[in-house]
Amino acid sequence: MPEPVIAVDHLSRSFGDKQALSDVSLAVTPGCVFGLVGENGAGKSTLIKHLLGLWRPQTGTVRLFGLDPVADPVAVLGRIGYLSEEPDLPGWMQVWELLRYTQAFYPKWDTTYAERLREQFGLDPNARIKTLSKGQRARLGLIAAEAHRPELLILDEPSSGLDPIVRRDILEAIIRTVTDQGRTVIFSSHLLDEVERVSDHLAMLHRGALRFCAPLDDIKARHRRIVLHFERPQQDPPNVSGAIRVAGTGREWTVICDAGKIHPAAMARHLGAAVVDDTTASLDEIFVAHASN
Amino acid sequence: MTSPTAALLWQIWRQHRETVAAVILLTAAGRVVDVLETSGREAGAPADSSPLTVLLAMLAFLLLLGVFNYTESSGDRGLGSFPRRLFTLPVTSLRLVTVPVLAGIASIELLYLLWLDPLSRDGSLSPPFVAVLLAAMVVFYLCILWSLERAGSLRLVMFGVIAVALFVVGMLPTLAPTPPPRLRSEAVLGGLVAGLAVAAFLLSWRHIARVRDGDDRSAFRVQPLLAWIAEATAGSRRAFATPAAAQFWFEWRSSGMVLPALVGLQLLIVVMPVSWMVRHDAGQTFIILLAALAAPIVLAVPVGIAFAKPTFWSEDLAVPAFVAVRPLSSADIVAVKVTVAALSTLLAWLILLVFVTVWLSSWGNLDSLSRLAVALWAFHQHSTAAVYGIAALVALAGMFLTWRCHVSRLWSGLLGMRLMLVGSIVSIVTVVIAGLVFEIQQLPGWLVADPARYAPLSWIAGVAVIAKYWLAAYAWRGMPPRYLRAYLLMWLAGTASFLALGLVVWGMLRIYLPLDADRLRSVVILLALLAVPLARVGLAPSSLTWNRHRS
Repeated sequence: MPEPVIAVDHLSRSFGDKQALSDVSLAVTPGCVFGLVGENGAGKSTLIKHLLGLWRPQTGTVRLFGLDPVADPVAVLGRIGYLSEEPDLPGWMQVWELLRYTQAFYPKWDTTYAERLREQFGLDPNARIKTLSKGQRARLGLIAAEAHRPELLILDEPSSGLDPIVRRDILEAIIRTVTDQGRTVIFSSHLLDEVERVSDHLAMLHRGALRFCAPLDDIKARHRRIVLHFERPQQDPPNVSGAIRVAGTGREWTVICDAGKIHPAAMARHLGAAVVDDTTASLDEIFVAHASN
Repeated sequence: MTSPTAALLWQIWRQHRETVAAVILLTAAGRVVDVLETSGREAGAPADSSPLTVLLAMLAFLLLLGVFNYTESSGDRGLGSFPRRLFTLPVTSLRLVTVPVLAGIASIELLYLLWLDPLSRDGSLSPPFVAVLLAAMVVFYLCILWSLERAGSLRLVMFGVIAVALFVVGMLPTLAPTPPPRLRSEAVLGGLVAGLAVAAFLLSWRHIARVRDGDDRSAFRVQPLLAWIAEATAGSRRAFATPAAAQFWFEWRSSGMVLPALVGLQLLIVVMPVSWMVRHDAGQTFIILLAALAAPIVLAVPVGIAFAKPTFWSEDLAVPAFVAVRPLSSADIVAVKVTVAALSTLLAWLILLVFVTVWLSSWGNLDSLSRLAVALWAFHQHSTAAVYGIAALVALAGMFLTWRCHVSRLWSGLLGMRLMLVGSIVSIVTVVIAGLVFEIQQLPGWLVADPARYAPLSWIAGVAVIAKYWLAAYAWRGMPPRYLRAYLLMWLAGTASFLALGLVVWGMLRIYLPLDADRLRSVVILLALLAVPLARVGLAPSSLTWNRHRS
């Protein structure tokens, strides 16, 4: 088994009384697109800041390429491309200046590739960054993060608040990155359809704790959506042990559950209901079920 | 609330009522102190107000300016900008601008009225002239805050320059000859300042009206000018040779030109006109020369505070992710900052020395300077080289002192702790005010008056030197040797220049001092060893690392 690009082991972090990360452990293997989902404040950005070495672990360890990003930032950061939701690019710089500045830090910077992307994105090289729209800034940030062909591309909610065309550009960048052999992407997003499109592994954080971390296909196969029909309207949600979420009103109730833990027919018999639908849960339903549980 | 004006005034009061209460308390305390001191004074004693009274007055006026800091912060800019939310009110821009300006003027005049007796006791300036200067100061203050919002905290430095200029204008009528010529009379100068204040008010009004209409450009159009200069000096588009070169370019473009620009501004708007006005007075020319030479050092203090932060133009003390994720070590980043400070200092002094050369060779009155040069020449066995050597040493020591003020707070600023930064600013302001109020210039006289005062001073300086070198050894232990070697060379050059200048000045002063004062020579040497920061610069990378990888 190849050495993981990212190895997080029992990482915890609190800010005052708030537990931002609670005993998080995960490993990301080379060549995968690792989706990171969770509601606002779940700890996604905090985890990413630990990966970049911007936060020092309170407990636990973080290793990238087998190195500690806090103890050896130069060796780690040189192999990473990073794009955040609000890339804090200096507004006074011109587009060509930013690319020239960024290039200096990465020996593998591909000038031709950067120039091709700039032209493709329609960015004027002489435009000042402060005059660019949010979408244009995101594209520029993407070029700066990607043009040195990093071994690990970290995207922290890069498509938040952007129009579909910019989102498409970002997704294409992710696909380009994974087609280069051995390169890895960490992609944090609220937009589950995007995550579903490009990710092959998925982790969900909820209130700082890791709810699941597995290949996307496994996660989808494991979660079932069962619709139960009762003879009489139910005032309270039926008590389904092992369910992640039970929602509905009256006679119709929907159960999101782990397929390995519940047998639908036996459950329905036990509750005095009939199974009217039993399908694979969508990622959206899985997310909502875990987030509201 | 019956009118928009009343509502706007109420908002100022509501927002700053604690500060207003502090101004009232300080004023009441100051007046009580003044009355007690005046009643206890012997007949025939000097009529000046006590240092404590003056200190309380200064604090009251400073706090009042804080009340009329009519801006709101939008997050990363601490001083903020004109409150944009007011633009939605059904009120004209003229009224939005006029209400705080007039309220500020009325308040400062009222405060001056309350302090009139202690502050005008020496009778050197007429109260109406001072009242005009104070009103103009409020207008210039608000004009700078509103019109130059992109300058961030540097607006306070700009206001400081304007305040110094107003202070100098206030002093002009008191200079010889008495009565002053018409050009330097209170009426003419008061009219001139009032005219400028009206122009500043109109400029502020126009700027706010434009911002309200969606045109957010600065009224002074400083940014396009700076951008044009940057474009003109941008150089080639070739790739940087090293990451450090790229980081140097980034730091220089962010903040490198600030000190040279401020020094140039100070020379242009204060030193040049004043030096022209006193061109016939050798004594005043000499004093203006000393003030001009001190300007880079004084200006480097506030610039150094801003420069010590991770981002010069932002109030946010965290290292921005844009910089933090660069594969560059904290030692590399600090080395770049130290180099930028050195280049900035060199440029500022180059501007100063060129100006001084042009001034002294054109309209400067050299009589006092010549007398000093002749005295030095005679003292050093008729050696012209010695005179030029001392002049070069003064410039060199001035440069190192400027650079020292520029970099000495890196260790606390890069740490990212607001308490440290605020503490640093408060300590400087306290020292300056205390120095002004308690007349620091009397300290040397007080020291040599009693030989018993020498010994503790030597001990304190000795302990400080030992502490400095011990801390330096600790701070530099993990630094790359190339930085240690380069910085040691810089430190040696700086310390050698201070040491040489200190010993030369000591040699000349020695003949005027009592025999016991010989022991002070060791204090001069110890102070020279303390002048150039060593431990503090060594600690800066650790501070940055701590801030960059937060716990």
